[in-house]
Amino acid sequence: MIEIKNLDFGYKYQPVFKNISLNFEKGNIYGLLGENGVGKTTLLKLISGLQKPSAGECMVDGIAPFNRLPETLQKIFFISEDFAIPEGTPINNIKELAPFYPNYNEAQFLELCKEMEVDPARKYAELSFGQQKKCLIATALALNTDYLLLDEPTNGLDIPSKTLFRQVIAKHSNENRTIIISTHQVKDVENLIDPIIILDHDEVLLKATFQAITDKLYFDYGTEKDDTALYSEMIPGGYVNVTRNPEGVDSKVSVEILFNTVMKNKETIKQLFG
Amino acid sequence: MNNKFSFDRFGQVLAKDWKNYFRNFGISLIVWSCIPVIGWITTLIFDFTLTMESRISTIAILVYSVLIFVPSKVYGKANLSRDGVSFATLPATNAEKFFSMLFYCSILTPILVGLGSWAVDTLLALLPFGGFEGFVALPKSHLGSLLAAIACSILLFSSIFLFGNMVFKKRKAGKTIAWGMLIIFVITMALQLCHFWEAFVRWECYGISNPEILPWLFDAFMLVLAIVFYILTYRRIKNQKY
Repeated sequence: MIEIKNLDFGYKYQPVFKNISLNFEKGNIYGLLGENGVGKTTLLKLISGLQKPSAGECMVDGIAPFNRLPETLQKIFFISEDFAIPEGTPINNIKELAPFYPNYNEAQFLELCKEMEVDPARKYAELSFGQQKKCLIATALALNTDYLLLDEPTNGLDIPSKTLFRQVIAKHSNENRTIIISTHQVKDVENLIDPIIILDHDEVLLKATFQAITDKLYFDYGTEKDDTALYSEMIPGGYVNVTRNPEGVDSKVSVEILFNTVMKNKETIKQLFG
Repeated sequence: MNNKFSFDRFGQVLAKDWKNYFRNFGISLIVWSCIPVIGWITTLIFDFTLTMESRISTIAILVYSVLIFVPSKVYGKANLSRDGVSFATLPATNAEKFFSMLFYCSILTPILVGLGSWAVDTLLALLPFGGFEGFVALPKSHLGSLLAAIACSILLFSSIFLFGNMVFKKRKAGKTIAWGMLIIFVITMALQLCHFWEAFVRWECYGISNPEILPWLFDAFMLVLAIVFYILTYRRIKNQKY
């Protein structure tokens, strides 16, 4: 479990988080959403031990990740948006990493490469950006770490690769693994993520499962704009109106519409889900 | 799970770093060791004999200059925010990563380049033509103290550049040299102002009954300084943010 308690963090002249608290439970695929610059990547860096909190706690299974203890590091794999291209071939690269990750499964890696349609014997330098990313995702999944942190994983992937990505993540997720996907391309991961976390400057605006969201918000796909709605957006053929849902009527959540609703009604959403 | 130094895991870090070392520095290592060939060809072209002292100096220069470049060639990415992620997140202790770094940069490289260039020099000296006469060997008298002095100076030199590699993000070797010169200049000026050298000379003349102790003192001073730089490097690895 990842526990973040009263965490403060900032870069030299730029505060990022002020007193935020969050938990990430095992077995979920979290969607970490937010506008550019709100600290999505920074949060992943804090969890993976690449940054140190200024105050408060960030614990992975009870250990501060910045201590960079082997026990913690072997549970986490982080793919940053601007990842460094490994040297050599994907298969050699993962063989170099394998001794450090006790749950590594080579057969799974080869299967993942096949599923992702990449050749693990070709040098990273010879692969396209999208193929490199797919190889890294295959590496990350085959190392079978408890926590998988993906920063903008669908950036640079073509449409079929985005579909493959969703399929592979869904197939290889399990009750022992926590996956955190930071993205601003919400449509790419719409049916994959649950719960959703929306970050704003300094704070967490929303952390909720789809069930909790539909319990409290109603997404009405109609032809008319509702002026009393928390948020309305024109879509082809009509409007989506997001309203409070006191009766708990079920509706289909559009993550993009949800995101816009949250951004336009920060205080209301915090009260509703607080 | 053992979070303390583990020799098994250290072996795995060494094995992983060896691949990185060989990939990034293997060819340079061979080229560096073969540099005495240039001197030998020069003696052939201009028909002269290279003295034993200048051949020893060449090997020494090769060893010391390789120490400048090896940290940035092999571990140059370790402190970079994007490229250093794989180094920082490798599941090994900071000590295991540091000692692997120390082994490759401060121990293996000078031994390989020193022995390699010495072997090349010896092979060239075996040839019946060319200007290499006799075989390079360390003098038998004071061999122990000479080896100790060489080892201490190599460790000090290497530790400085290892530290520079973890501090500077770009032009690591150049910046380390520049900062090193600046610091030496400042210290020298400060010592001059304090009349330290005059005091030291007086101490050397009158304070020590056995002057043979001075080289050992100097070695010990170099060793202590090297340890200080190694500790600073370790701390840099431990506290590096990405």
